[in-house]
Amino acid sequence: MAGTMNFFRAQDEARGRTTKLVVLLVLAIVVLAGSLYALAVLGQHKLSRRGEIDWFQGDLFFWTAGVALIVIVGGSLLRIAELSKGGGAIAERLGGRLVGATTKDAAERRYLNVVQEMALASGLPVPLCYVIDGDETINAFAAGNSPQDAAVGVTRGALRNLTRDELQGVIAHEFSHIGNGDMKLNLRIIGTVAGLTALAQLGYILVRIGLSSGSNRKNNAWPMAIAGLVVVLVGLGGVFFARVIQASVSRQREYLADASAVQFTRNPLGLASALRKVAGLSGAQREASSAELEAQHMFFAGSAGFLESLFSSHPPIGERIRRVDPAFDGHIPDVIPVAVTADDEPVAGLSGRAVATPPPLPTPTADPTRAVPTDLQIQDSVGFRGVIPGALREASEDPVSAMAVVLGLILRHDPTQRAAQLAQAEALAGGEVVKEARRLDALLRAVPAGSRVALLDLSMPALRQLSPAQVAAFRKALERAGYEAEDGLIVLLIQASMRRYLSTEKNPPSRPGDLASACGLVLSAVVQTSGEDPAAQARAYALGAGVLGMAGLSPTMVPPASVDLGKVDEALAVIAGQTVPARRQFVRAIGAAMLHDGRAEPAEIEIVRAVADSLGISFATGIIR
Amino acid sequence: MSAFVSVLLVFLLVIVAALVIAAIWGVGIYNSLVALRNACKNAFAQVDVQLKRRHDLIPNLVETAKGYMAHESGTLTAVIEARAKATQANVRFAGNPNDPAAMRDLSQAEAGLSGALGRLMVVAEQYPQLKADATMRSLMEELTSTENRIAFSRQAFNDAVLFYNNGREVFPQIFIANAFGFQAGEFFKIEDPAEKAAPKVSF
Repeated sequence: MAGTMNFFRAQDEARGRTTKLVVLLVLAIVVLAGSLYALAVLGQHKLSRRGEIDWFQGDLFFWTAGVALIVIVGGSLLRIAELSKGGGAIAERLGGRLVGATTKDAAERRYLNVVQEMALASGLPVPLCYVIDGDETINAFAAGNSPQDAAVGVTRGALRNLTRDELQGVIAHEFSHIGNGDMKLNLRIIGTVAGLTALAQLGYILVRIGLSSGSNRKNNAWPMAIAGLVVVLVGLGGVFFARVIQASVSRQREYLADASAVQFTRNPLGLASALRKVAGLSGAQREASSAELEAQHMFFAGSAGFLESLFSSHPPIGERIRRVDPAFDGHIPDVIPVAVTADDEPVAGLSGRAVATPPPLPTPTADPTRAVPTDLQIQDSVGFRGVIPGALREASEDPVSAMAVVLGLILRHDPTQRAAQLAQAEALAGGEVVKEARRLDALLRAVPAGSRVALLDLSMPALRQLSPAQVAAFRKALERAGYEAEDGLIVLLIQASMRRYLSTEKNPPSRPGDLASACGLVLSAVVQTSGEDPAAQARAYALGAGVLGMAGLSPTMVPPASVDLGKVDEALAVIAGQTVPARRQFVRAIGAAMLHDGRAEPAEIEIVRAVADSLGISFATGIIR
Repeated sequence: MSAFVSVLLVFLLVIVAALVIAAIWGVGIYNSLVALRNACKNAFAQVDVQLKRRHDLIPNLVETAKGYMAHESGTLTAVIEARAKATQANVRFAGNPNDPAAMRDLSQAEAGLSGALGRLMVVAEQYPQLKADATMRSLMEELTSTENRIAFSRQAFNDAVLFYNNGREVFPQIFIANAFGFQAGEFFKIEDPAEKAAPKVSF
């Protein structure tokens, strides 16, 4: 491990790469428009047969550059607008079919299980799962604007040829793309590629029109064909730029995603073996469709081509394997389909076998207030390590039952109050939700602290099947249940997370308010849930406040008596309206405060995950070797 | 001549550029229509799960009822026939999810099944022993629960169809929709037999 990379930096870097993308795009437009203009000037010179080339023709420049600009920018924006509809739309565009929870196919069931496990490991809501049926190569992708509307997809070949461990490595790789914020970047790359290729398409159409009308009427048709040819040439330059941009922006991200995948699964051999199989199958690769070529950087493996080494969106596969598994000897095995047994049991966190244990936190130093936990320690500590009963997991996959699960998690402990809260939600789904909540009551009450947020994440695909009207009714029912429960803060955070998960808007409306006092209040509320003595809570608060390092932030904790949940809710909304880096910094401060004593209790982990969930921040990326 | 050629060139370029943009836009609309139609299909998967559950419950229900109401074989046969019809219609629709006629058939078959089950319940009222049977009670409970879930998933499906139809009928989507054979989606209606049987108010 040469150096560590924290998850915040990785996510920030994705934004940095967007800047790079814009710079490259502007450069490409300038070059393309310039060469189109130059060729137009030369062409006009040839046609007019005048003695001297006039390099400064305002009108001609205006039109050629204008057309190039309109086509490239227009093409990009249209494609981006089209793809902004969410991960599911992109997955379907790439030929994906949604895999339902009721699938009878053993390989698909195993795939869903692996995705659920990885969601729990990375603290992300379970994405929609797609399969590309006709594709026998080994590949996978992740798409979407945010973790809330993400989708992952794998090819049929991946399901057929990968073992469970290998598939887990591949899915973990895709999850770190979701967590690293690569998906939005990917959309912009697709848009850019579409815009730059549009110019070549324009030229192609010109040539076609020119040639077809040239056969009918002799006059003025050839210039059009020639102009078309010119535009094709320039457009090919655009395609070239597009590929270079795709390659330069996305390659490094693949190494990062590989490294993160190893961190989630703690099993480098699974991913390495999957990559070897990708290499072993690449001889059998078929022609990629244009939709796939445009999106090739979104996939797990790059598409093979004669210019692979130059323009590939992915690093060379041998190098990727070596980075994951230093013992790689260059041997690529033949790929034999793997038999999938029908009784695939979910492993990590869902049934008996526990998730791989993370390295232990360093023992606290003599002066715990000084030891600020690193991002990596925070990230390692918040991994889910509980076990979710099979009945609840099953329930979380059905829309009606999933509503019952979420509702059940926020109810009061007192039976009479619980019954009253349930009665309020009676009408939901024709009373079925309440019936289901009653059926699952014993299980839901027994859900230990630490597993509640994980259950929310598991319920997401089912809840995404609700229609907008049903979502609105469900949100109202949750709101009515209120958060004045015995363990108020976590219930409040669950509600805030649900609001974010079920929101139709991309960004919550920003709420005005004093950020420093909002952060102080939420931080105080969080440290006070730990059940430690007031002195320890004060130390935790001081550590968190130190990490925040915000001007105007109170250096002392708000006393428990003055922490009002309604105010905490408002304060959370104020923080939720901040920029991504500011929200990340806050999550980091919460994590540091919780780990101040070097121990991460399940309830503490849950609070950190819930705060992160409610603010739309994920922990899903890791180290770089 | 030169001015003419350059003006012509530029003019053509602009026109074709507009065409390309329009084509990309058209592709975008086409893709969004496909996405909306797929949303209907995905929503139907939920309905399908519940319909199948209902169909699976019926043989047990009939088997249990048979022991108590041997004289009502007509009612029982009607239920079994209605179930067979509904299963067939379901398979047909699954094979051809964009066909409005197949959806209408399915709606009718499921409504027929609901009607037959309703009549069975009315008749069962006259057999107190049957009503007291534990298996029957649990089957009835599960059947009611399944019907509620059918209603709920049907609501989600119909919302998706409405969304698709609205998206399909607005300008300029309607041109693309017609050109590429995007038929209007059919809602999944199950007419409530009880509602139908309600006496008309006459003055």
